[in-house]
Amino acid sequence: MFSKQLLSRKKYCQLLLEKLLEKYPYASILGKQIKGKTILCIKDSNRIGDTREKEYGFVARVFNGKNYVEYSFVEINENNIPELINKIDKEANLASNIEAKLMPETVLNDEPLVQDFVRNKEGRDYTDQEIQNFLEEYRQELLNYDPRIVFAQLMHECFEVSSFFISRNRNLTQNYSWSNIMVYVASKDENNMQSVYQTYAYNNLETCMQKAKEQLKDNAQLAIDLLSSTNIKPGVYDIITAPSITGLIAHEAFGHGVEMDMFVKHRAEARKYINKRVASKLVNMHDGAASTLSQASYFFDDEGVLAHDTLIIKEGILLTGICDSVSANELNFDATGNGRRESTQRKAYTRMTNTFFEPGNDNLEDMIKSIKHGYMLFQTNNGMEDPKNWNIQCTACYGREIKDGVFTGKIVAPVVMSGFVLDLLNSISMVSKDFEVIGAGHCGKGYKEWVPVSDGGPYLKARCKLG
Amino acid sequence: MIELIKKCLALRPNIFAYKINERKSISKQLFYIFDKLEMNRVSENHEVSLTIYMKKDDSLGENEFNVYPYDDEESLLENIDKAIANALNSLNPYYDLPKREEVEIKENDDIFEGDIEKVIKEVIDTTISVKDEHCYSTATEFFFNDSTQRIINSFGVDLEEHHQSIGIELIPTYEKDNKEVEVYEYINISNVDLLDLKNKIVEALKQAKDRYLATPLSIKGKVDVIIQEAEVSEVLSYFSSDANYMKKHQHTNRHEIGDNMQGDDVDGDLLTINMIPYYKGAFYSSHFDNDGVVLTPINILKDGVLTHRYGSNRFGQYIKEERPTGNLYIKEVSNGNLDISKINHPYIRCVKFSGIQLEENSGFVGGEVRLGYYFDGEKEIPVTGFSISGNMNELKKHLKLSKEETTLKDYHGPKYLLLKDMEVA
Repeated sequence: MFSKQLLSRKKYCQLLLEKLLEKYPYASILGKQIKGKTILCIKDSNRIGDTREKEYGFVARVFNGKNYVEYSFVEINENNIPELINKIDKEANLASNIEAKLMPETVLNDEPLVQDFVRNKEGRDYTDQEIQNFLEEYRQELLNYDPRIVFAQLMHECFEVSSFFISRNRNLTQNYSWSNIMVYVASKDENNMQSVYQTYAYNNLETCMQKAKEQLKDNAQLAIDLLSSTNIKPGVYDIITAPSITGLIAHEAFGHGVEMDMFVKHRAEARKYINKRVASKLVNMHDGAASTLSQASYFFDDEGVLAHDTLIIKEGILLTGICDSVSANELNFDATGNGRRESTQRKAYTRMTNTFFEPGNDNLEDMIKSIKHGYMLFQTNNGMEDPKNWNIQCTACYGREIKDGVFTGKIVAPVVMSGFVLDLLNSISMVSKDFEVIGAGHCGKGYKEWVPVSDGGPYLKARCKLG
Repeated sequence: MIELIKKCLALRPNIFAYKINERKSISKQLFYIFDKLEMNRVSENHEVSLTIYMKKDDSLGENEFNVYPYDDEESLLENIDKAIANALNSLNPYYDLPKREEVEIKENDDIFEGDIEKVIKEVIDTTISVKDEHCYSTATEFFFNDSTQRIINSFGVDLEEHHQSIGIELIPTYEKDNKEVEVYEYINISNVDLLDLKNKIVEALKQAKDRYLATPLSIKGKVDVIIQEAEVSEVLSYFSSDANYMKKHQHTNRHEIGDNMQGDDVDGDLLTINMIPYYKGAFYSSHFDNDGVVLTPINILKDGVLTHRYGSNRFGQYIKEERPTGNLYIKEVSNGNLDISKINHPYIRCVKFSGIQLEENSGFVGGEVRLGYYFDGEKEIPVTGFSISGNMNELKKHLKLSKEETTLKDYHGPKYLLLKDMEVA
């Protein structure tokens, strides 16, 4: 249900907006609240608390005829509107006070739209006690699986987003939620120590629990198997990427490079490749809050632009990027609903949402059989973007060796993928029919500005430098 | 708001204890593309959280929630009642909460000197003026931050501290003959020294130029690697994190007190590390932690041997520490004797990583290097496009620490660290 506290402030925001529109050619206000819960089950540190995503605040944005100015605040009421206007006016004068040279800007597109959006949570409700019981039983089963499992931690998180966006011509509200369960297991023997991290994220807690339960033994066994993992011998190999790693490639290796605020800053190699081949013909890639249902699905972004499904790569050809409003204005392009803020305390940048490759027509079994010597790579560890030079840095938690089309039983961990992005994408030779989007990650821009995202896709066969 | 909270708490005498964390902040932010301002903004924030503690037999439960400007007595009491129920539903072994302690909190100088716009102009002008025809920052973001943090609890703790800082994110870029390369730099400043700032930016732009000139590294196999600055702090957290109380409590620690963390047959420098609350210029400096514990420095590693642990009040009590140190974030590491100018065998000095990775459990350390300098025995040559990997279980025996020091947000100690025989690919 839409936050009643946020809604109670909307009328004051409308009064503030009216005053701002009397003096500025463009003004808008975003109001946002994220509520929710975290239930943590961990030895001697059980906790029920607020979601880590929690937020409450407002952003007023104005265009003073020369540049864009924002003021973010946490309180608005019948008494402090004049004070807020003074602060915004003062900030709007800063550029001339410090004699700043300005980017050429024009008024943002403000097409009329009035709409309320709601996405209801699916599945049954659970009490906190039921959730705690589930998590504690799961944790104990993991610890009882093998004496080499020394630690297990379970966490459930759910959050509900309420936001409104108002401008001269727009009045939008949205309300939606998401749930996830996170499993962390650590194993130890006399030579090694390893850990496994797995998430289950859906718009339905019942589904999260069910999937987690199905994979309980797999998670425990993986923690044990990893104890015998070794380092990979660096080299160039055939690889098959599990959906998590497929998503990591889509997001980290390529997606950041098509965030079009990078085009404005001349930081994106992709700018030179629009309508050119960047990948094999088997590759189709999407990004969008409306592309699929996952953690980063919303109805409008933090700048009031409706969510899109953007087809970024079609049959290996780069068609377009994704774009926030201010960058779109600067590029004479249409915004794609990707203007996102870490919180109302931060600026909106072009950010990915749900990023994935489309499935193909190959069978996974055939893909494995086709490998002479290579690895199947699993589970995102981390990645880092390089939009300017298109070098890959992606790390998979582990890989399973394949020789002559069969798994050898050898596990390597971790596995760092490196090289040039286009080489990797053009080497994709098989794309499976399977498809999975994993919806519980976060993405930074550089090393800050964290937003929830999802990524995934099918299994891919490609060739890559591993180390 | 604090008064409203206290008034509501007084209406719930069954509460065992409470803690209030308050943070007020103003951040002035400016976003430049090349030398032109795209947007400026201000964030004014006031965050208050209330933690309710409930004791039952030998157990203690807690529940924290945010208090918002729209809360009144009715809604706050409702949330307190929910917190009481949640705390009683998530009980853990009892531990004592921090009590009032006298501490002298040195007030830092006002780095904005009462005229923040003047400082903003000086810092920005200094930053964007450093450029030439081929070398400049394509996107620069400035954050001028001022915050006050206060912690109050029902045992008399009432501590307040004021922080100011400036953060600058730069994208140094070198462009020539239709080829462009960039590096990434983030500068944290806790006092305004324009000359020092200019020198940092000159160095950052030089690195962009060197990445442009860099050639692919041709050697493969094992080579000595020198890391520097933030990567040194990251790698040495392999040792400091294992000394945390929480690790011991969760049985995920790799060593016990008295163990030689660097193993036997060490032919490198033996590490001595202190965890400290405060160092001038270290952004994470603080006199107390989020629990209200007044922080005390402690030696955790002496000549490679684990001497003490450190960490939160709760986990310290769980492992029977007499006086938990509180959450300390700054590593102070003793210097070695490494002088890079005197090395006469090949090494690679790695300056810019995509992001160095350290897996504490397995000991894996490595990452992709965007800019390094390969020393062939005579001179350093800029190189790029390679990755390094190794394992701390072996590397820790052969560490070499520099004489030259540096101070970072969470670190003071050797600027350079030599890692022997890392795998290069």
